[in-house]
Amino acid sequence: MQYLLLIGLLFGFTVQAKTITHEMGTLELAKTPSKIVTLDWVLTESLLALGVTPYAVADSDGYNQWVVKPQLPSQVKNVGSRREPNLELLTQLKPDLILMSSHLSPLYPSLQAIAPTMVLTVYNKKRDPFSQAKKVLNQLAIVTAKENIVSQLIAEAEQHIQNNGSQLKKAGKSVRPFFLVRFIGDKHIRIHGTHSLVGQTLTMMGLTNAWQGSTNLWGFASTSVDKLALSQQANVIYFGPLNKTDKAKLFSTPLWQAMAFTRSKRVYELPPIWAFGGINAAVRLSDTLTEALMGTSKNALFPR
Amino acid sequence: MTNLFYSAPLTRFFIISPQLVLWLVVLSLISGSIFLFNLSANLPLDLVWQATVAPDENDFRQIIYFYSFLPRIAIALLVGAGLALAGCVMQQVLSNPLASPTTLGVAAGAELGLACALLLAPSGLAIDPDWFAFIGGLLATGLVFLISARKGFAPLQMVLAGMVISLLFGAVNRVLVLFNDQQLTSLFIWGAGDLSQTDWQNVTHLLPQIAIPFILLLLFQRPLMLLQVGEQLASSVGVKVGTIRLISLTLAVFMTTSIVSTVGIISFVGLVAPALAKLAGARQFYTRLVTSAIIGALLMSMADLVIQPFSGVGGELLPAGAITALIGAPCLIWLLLRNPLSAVAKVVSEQPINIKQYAFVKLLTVCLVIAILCTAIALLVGKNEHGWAVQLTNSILTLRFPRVFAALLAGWGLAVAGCAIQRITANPMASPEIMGVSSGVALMLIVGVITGIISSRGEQLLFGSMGALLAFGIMWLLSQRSRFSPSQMVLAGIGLSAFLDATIRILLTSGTDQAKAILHWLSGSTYLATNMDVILLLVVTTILLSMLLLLHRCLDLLTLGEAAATGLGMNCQQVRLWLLIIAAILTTVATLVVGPLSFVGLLAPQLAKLFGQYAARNQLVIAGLMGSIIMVVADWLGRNWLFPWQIPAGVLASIMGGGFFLFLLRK
Repeated sequence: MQYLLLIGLLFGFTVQAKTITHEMGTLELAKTPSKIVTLDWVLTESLLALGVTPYAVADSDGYNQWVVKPQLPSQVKNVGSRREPNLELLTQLKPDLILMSSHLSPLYPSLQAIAPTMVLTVYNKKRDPFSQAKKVLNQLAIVTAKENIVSQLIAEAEQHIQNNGSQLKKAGKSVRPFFLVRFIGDKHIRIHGTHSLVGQTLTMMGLTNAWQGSTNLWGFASTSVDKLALSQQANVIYFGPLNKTDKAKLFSTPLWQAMAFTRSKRVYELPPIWAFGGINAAVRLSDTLTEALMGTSKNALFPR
Repeated sequence: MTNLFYSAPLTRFFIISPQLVLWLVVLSLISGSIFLFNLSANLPLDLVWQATVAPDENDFRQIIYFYSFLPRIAIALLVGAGLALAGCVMQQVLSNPLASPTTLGVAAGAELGLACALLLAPSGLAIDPDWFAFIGGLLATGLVFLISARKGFAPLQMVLAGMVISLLFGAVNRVLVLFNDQQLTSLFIWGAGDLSQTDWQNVTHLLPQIAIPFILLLLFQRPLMLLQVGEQLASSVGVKVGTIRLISLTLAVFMTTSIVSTVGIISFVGLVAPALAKLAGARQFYTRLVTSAIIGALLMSMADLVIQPFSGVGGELLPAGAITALIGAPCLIWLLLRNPLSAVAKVVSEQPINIKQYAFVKLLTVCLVIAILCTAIALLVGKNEHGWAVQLTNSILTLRFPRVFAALLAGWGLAVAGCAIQRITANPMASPEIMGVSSGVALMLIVGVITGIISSRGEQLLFGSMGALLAFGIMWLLSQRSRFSPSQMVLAGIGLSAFLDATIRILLTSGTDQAKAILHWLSGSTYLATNMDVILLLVVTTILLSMLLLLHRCLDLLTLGEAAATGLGMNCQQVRLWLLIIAAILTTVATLVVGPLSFVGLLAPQLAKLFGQYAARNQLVIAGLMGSIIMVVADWLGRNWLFPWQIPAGVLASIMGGGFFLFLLRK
């Protein structure tokens, strides 16, 4: 009898149930979850960066269009909208773990009833998305048993971003400040400040953000195109996709034509980058930015 | 009569009251000083002349001034004048002092057109999305014309049709936005009417589109003036009223669609400017046309100039269009309170549609059976990963139960509230949605959520009821003057829903998650309904329905009219007050679950009447059941149609209900 107990205890130790604390409570995991559902694109992106393929995600089509990389394998199931993921489908999929952000907090009890749920938020009032993204990645690594690679992954990513920065510095491309924008139609822009993920990436690369105005929780300001004129010596970096009609309209206006950055051809288009993403999006920005300014192509760092 | 045909001496047109001149001078002075203030913040005054005539392309201040600041002022003046002209013409032609460009569905049509262009048109397409907006606007107004044609473009009929088309198109648009919020970001800014410019192109594009109709309208001024003396009189002196109406309205709609498709949705300038012109003493049509245009231009530029320095605070845009709606909506209600509008305050004569009379008990049994069947199907049948399936597992039922029953009870509550409101106001076109009561609830809740005051269901109920009572309060004040005239109610409803709409638009331009969360609730999603909600709804709705059933004689009497009811010894004021409070609470609890728009409160009582249930007691019961059926079906469809995506029940109900209502209007 005593031996049996001892064996049982030993067995118990080897399985080692993990208790994980997250933003809205604690989580007991008996084993490493294999069927993971993510309801937020930044969490999907982070999971893929760790080399874990989610079982199902919210709005997979949207992910493929706006986040683009790391690519989502086609077998990953879709559970509907990011705001109202289909609870019935979730129940039937019987996931081991659900990952959500605090922007969905009213949903937490319902999700908790379906499967163990973890709340991880990158974009919050701290307005420090890069550090938050690192924190989230670390927590995800603990849950998915990827602790062994995560610190190296983060260190490499940071190093990579810095290297890109110094490459630009060496080539003398880091003197001017940068505008990081997304065009909304042909007259308006969303312009990213220093508290945004892309803004922080810029800082890590040793570059200066030209936008000094105030921004919202997500680190951007909505404004009109003419505000770019206030710092015409800057380079303009914009993320796709910008449709052809708007592009033609915008770029042919006298105001745009008159700006110094247009005249000396310092406007660069980057491919779609999820400006509300995580570490991967930051690396992707620094890569594509370096490519655009240097005219070279890069090897992708992610996914491994 | 003949002297009406002789052209009045030209000088007569230019006799303007001193009061009017004073108004214009004051307005211009205010606009001018704000203009100078904004200007001096951006450009040293000694550079102004040079920057206007030949801007130095190397000086960014001059570039901004010439390509952004100046065209923005020009577009504000042009847009204000154009909308005011359109409004002035519509008010004259429809003999309705409260008609305006936005009330004819133009904006909603244009918005839907633009959304379709952004989503469906291939990106390489050379067609400007503005054209889609233009076609959408014309289409919506065309529908409004078509629907009101049978009634000879009766003012109330037209405004009602315009409102319903707006709500219907708005609901379809809402569905598109919910599924494509990333692609449609530009639509949010356009929809809020921001006037930022990057060149003179919009100005040169709009100028002829407003100037040419204006000149044509001036040519038409004499027959248009005759409309003022009354339709019969005008046609007796040989004016082809129908043709004149059609041509001038088309011109007005053309101006509106051009403006809306170019700069976005700008509400209320077209309503307020002509009203102010009248207040300022512009009596004749010609004078009023010109004065409205001037006032409109000044108002619009003033609004835009005032908000410009504040735009960008906290990283958010402050679009002029939405701001004018926020100012314009209270103006509308103030105007309604000032103006008894006796000319249009006719109650719509109710024409019973010929349909077989059904015995109450028989109908009740049929409705009950259908309701039970629908509920059972909604609970048991649904889609899963592999397709349709009958699911009896406990976990699925626990998820479906609150949603199905919340929809059922909310439909019930809204239908019963709708019945009560239609009876209280003796107006078959009244409903919580159309009278703006639901908008009042939604507004208070949004304010509560944003300021962080509301956290519990109880507080939501309290705030929501306050919003409902506030809306009713406005209706009450109006009713004192107009004896519950349908047009007053509808217009006040338009005012309130425009106010709500503007609030939503400002929230949406911020593009934040909180705004999109609010949008989901406003669309009437049962997604977050809990068992507690079901209990709350059940208790409140049952108690209040019982009270209404006890009061059924009063409801019957009210339908007879105030005089008859008073004659029979009823204290109309007090009874109405109590009934309104009951309706307010019912509307609030239902709105909490299914959002502010669903048309159930309008549709179900009408359906009950279609099946011959005129007595209050019978109507309440049958309408309640029908309301439940509509909402349960809408919720079930919404959950399964685009699985795993879900369409909010409220939106689907309003698309079904709106379609049916237009059909009723056409009758």
